Amino acid sequence: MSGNKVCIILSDCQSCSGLSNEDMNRMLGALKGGAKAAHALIVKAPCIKESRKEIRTLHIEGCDRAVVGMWCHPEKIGALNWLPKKMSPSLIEVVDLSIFAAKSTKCSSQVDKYVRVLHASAAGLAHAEALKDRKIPFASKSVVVIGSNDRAKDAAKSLASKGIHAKLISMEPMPGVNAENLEVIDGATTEGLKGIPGDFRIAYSRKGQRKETDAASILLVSERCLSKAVPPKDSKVKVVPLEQFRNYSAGGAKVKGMAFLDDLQTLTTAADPVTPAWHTLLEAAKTAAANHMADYISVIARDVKAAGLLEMLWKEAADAGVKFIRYDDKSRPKISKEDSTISVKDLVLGESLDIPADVIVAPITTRPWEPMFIERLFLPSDWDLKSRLRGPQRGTAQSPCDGIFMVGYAGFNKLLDIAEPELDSAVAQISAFMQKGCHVARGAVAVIEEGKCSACLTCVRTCPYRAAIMNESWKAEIIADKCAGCGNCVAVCPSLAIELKNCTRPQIGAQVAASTEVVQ
Amino acid sequence: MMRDVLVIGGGPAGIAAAETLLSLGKNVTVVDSAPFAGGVPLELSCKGDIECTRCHVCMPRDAAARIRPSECLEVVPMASIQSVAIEGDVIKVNAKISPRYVKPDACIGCGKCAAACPVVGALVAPPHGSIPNAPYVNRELCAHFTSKKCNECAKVCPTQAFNFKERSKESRTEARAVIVATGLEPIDPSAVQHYGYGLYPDVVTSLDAERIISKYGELRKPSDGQKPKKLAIIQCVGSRTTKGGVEYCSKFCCKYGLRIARALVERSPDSQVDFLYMDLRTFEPRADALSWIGDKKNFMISQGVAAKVQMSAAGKLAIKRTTQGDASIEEGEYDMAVLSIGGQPRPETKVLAAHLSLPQDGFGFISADDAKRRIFVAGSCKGPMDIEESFSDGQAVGARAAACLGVRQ
Repeated sequence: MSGNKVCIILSDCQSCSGLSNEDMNRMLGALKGGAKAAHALIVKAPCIKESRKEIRTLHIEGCDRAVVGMWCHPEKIGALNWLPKKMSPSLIEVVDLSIFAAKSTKCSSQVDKYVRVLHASAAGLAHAEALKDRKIPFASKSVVVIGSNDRAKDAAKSLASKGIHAKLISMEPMPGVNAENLEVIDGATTEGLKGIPGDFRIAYSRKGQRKETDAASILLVSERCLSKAVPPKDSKVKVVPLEQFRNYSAGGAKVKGMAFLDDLQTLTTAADPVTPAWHTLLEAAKTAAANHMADYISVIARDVKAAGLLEMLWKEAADAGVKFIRYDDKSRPKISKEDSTISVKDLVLGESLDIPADVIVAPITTRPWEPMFIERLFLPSDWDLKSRLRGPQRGTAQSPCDGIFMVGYAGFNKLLDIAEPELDSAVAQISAFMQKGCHVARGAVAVIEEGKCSACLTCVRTCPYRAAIMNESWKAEIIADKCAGCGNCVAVCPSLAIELKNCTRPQIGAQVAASTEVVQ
Repeated sequence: MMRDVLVIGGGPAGIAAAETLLSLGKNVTVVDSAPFAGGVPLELSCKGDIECTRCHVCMPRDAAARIRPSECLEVVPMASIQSVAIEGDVIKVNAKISPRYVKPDACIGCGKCAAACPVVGALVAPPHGSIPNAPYVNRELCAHFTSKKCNECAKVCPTQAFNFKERSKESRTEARAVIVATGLEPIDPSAVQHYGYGLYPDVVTSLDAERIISKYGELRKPSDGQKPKKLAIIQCVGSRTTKGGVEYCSKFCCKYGLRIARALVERSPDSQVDFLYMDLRTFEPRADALSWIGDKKNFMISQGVAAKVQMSAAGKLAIKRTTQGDASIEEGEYDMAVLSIGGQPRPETKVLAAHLSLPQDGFGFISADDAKRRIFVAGSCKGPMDIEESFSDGQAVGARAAACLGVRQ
């Protein structure tokens, strides 16, 4: 604090606080008498324009820092906007007193609490200011993209073109990917992840060697497990991968029956059919029908996922003469051994159909990661990335925790048309994240003096960050990683056992790590 | 004031684009036609009960709560675009702003006015996560305008935020780039006559059902306020049809339909829910989408939508449908039917596309944007999208627009 003047401002929004004039005067006296505050003043309800002007022109002159206590949500009335412009926002602490507000009668007994909250915040602010290096720069300057498909490649390239050092870790070989700022680590399997945002360490094994690389941010795209495009044994059916259908159709061979399958694996396993490229599949079926490439052209699928405007393509294909057959999950289509047909039980009609299929066209499908990538990364247990993936915070291209982004198949299987904008958005967010270049930590942490603690649980109930817990010796303890230094517990502790103290550097590091956790 | 980007539409895509642009250091104006920016999700209900089902209704709301109007972000609600002029590098947009009768800057959201208002629905309180976080006065219902000069809300307001003398005004915005994110509007199923929407009170749309759930916390029959014992959810109403609707698939109905079904089945184990669908077009694997069913007896999922909804002799809804597997026709009696309606482009989209000379397809979706003239299109005005998809599309388009503008000098 050392000589700098701190001003404590209190709004007298009497309608919200329920305090009488007398209570207000008592508070003012208490604050002025307090050794920590140089000025304490009560202003008229700042939600009224005139008093905002008053504050700006009169009261804070000559103070270096300010603590503002209010009874309504500070953001709501834009508290920072009506404070003097020359005072930087980091020197103003706005305290929401409404969480302590007594709604009914016992208002005056609250006054002491209010005074202590304000003093604690003033102390916290001074600590934060005293701590010069609140900003922790990222230790690493690069972004790691993990994925083996074209989209991973594109993402890494576009990051590199923005001047960000990108590293592409892929399971498959990646020949011919060269760009400035781009480092390709192909044929590598990721094995573990450690560290905090801005300073991740990723372990991977390549050619039997275990290595480590650093990253400020990570983009998970997907890994690719190809379902092999080989027909089941003892069958006369020819299988054409959907990706090579164009070459096949150029050959112009005419056959009796041609079947498009949503997923070749559906013939052999009971796994969910996965078709990322319905657009290509429908387009191919339509072309085959339009060019009369077979007498009987069918699409055999669990669900015809021609979602959105793809519906029109489906209609066009159906009009061109393509038959759509849906099979039941319980009885999957089978290739008969005698002749070139697929036997399917129609889902709606319940009839068994024999569909001529000399040629089967099926997409090379992408499976979700096996084993699950997240599990293999061995994330620190307190991150619980997996459960957060399922939580409401996770949207596509959203960050499940600071610095980690996931797109496309990293979440679940989806159409290609959806995966592409996700990728653009993730790249944009990563470049914004890298532009920040540092973390900002709060400078103060609450510390409990065990001897004084009476284990009343008041702090445990009050802490908005759930940092206060009861330890094994049945005393309260503040988890430094989670503590934001807000001073609420200091204010409410009846035995005056809690104080705000400076953070040590490791504590700040831990805070940064904890800040990646979503506050419930 | 000169803005970097003007975002037209404050739904999921618009909010996402604005958030991305703000994070990339651009200043943004968002113009929205509704009183509260936030789009259709503001009206929907959270479908998670025991655990989050990822309906993503909260996604744009949370984003709206993260971005607050400041020097870099201006949100103009209740605006309708009047004219657009492109002069060199600058796009000038004129909008007419309808009166709100509440000054958003002055309002502190204490909620006293809502408690004092004597007319139901006249003073609409802001839903969570909406911008601006201030109520608005519905002129058609408000007693100040309808009959006597009621002034109850203005009397209790601690900040004198009410101004009944407000008139509609013009707003001019100049921007270097425009993002069109006007979104979709729900299809009115009254044209689908064989389902009897509008004729039988207990045939409701999914949007109605969500409003009922939002209001009461559970689904109730509009006719007598009782909980339905047997309920049918009919998919693809107004979508994938040539009669009374649109030809395309609306894409998001499977997603929300299944989630509504799940919420109902899990919340009330004693009521039967039948889910009638054409194709299950959810994008998570089918097994994942249906994993919650487990061995629950009160849920039935069947391929094949309903043919007709009639009133039976017992006063219940008789729904005729084909059964899955044997193609026989069955008529079941239900207490209530929820029609999963799709979406269609708003009429504003058409006007705006004409103003900006953007190409449109036969349905009214904008089929391409024009990066050269710095006009971008985001979200479901270029094709049906669910909340999650249009949100990430908004982010992607926002990033593209920012890249197009380059670093500010």
